[in-house]
Amino acid sequence: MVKLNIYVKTFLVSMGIFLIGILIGMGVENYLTSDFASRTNYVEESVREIELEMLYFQDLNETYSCNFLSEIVRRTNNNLDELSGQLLKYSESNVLFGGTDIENLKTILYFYDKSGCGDCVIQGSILSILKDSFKEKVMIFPLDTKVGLTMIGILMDRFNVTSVPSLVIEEKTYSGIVVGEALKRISCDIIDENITTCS
Amino acid sequence: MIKTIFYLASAFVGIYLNVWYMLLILENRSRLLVKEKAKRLPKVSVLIPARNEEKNIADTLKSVLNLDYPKNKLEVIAIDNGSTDMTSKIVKTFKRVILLSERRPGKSYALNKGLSVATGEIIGTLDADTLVDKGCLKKTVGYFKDKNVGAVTNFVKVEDEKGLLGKFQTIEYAFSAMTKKLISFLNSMYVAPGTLSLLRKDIVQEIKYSNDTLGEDMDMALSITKKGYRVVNSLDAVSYTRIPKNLKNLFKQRIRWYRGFIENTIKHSDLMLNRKFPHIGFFIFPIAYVTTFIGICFLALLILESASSIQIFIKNFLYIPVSDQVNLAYKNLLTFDAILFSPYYLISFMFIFSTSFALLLYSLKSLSLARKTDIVLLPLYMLGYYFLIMIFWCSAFFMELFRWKKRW
Repeated sequence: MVKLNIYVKTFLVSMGIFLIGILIGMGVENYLTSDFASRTNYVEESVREIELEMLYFQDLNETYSCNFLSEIVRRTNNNLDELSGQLLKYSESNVLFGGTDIENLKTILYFYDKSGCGDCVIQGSILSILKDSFKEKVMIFPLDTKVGLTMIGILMDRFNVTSVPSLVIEEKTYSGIVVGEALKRISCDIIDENITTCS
Repeated sequence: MIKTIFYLASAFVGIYLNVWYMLLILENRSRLLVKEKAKRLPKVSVLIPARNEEKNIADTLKSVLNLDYPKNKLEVIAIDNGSTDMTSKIVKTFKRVILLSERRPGKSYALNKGLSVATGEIIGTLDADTLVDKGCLKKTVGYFKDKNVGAVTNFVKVEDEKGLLGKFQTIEYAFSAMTKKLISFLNSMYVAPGTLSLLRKDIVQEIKYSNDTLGEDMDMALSITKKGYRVVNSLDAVSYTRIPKNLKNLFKQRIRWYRGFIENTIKHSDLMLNRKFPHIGFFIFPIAYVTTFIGICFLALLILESASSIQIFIKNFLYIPVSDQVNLAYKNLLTFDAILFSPYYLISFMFIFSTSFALLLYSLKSLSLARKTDIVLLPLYMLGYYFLIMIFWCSAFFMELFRWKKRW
């Protein structure tokens, strides 16, 4: 009967290891979410600042304000760029994010809704393949419309986006899922017709 | 939510099993490789049931007759179980071997027939495809000086370990030998296989081999345990078994074993939660079912996750080239792994993985089977072979559940 103690001992040791695992897990999770949260806050504040400054400068010198604002927008955009890249990696999204500032870089804005949009999954997958084909020639910004960021709202108004999924390829809006030949034609025309996929 | 609870519970079960195993080793380390020298050599009757074993029987008989044991104390009985090949003719060429014939198909009938004529006080059961090491018998009979010992099993090695499947089975048999040794300390050894396991004849005669199960060796060991005798294990006595060389034969063998295991846990369900047999009743039998349940759930989850990726695969069929589709399906499968490797489970799974590795390595080292190649193979064994075995277990479970026809 003394041997039975082995099960109690085992339970205690296992529970210890298990709880350490959970605690470390909670710590890591907490760190990641709080880090993301604080950085999202920072970007949101910057956007609010831009809005205010835009109102203020509109009454003054337009050219000056435009240059000044574009600098702030660029900086904020870089922050957002980095942040969303990490967020995407973290949330195991299929859409690959990347690209660096080079000449002739084309942009695609991809408006989606993470919760409950069947076509968004497919559109996302297809865009990740598109990204694979065009590599650094194209920059894809996946924008979750439900996040509630002011900047996304501004962009939606600017490009007349009313439904998800929607694509804005070089300032032209395509509502609904864009796949197959249609996407191939658009992307080859606009982004780069010299790659193998287009020939 | 259910998924989270399931992952947390299986992580805990995994940790528990490995910690239990490690504590068991720590507590019994000094007893693991202790040898029992025989003061007196009792007469042993070796029973060899054979059905269409013309390819193997000669080698097996030669190895038995070559045992380091007094000739007048070793009786060899081969029982032809309805062979249609040259088996009995080959046996007849061995003068010292008694040949019996049992028409009714079934290993148990053959063993009972042999039992009826055996004159030794100890019975050895040996499959016709198993070879024995010269010193095997002498190293095991010593255990019978303890009156409470009803049966002694030995260390089963793989005869020919060529090929990846052979190497995996070598690791598996070594770990299994270590496990059997450890649980024999808990009086929970539940099987006495036909690899020259020795049994007291008076007990076996009283119990008799039963034909209602695919695992007559497990049935006998459990019956002996229930009678209050101990089934022990000797790690220095060695026998060599011929292993299945391809997946099909391995599948057939494992289905037989695992269905035999399930049948016997049902047949001997009085052991389950029985205070007289605390280790078998409260841990070893229940944990076998718990791990099978976890395995089935994991497989089901994997299939469900694959199904959803296949769904997307089909939906995308018209839009994306095939090579990209494979890539995409793979990416979708990766999200399944991503759940497992979220920070919550990471420590648990890292612990389970590393301790499993250490335990396997310890088993191989203690049994002098560790070689560089084996060590390299261990992670592959843990990821690939375990998975294969889990599939076999689940198949056996469902076959038993839906009462599929049993095949030997």
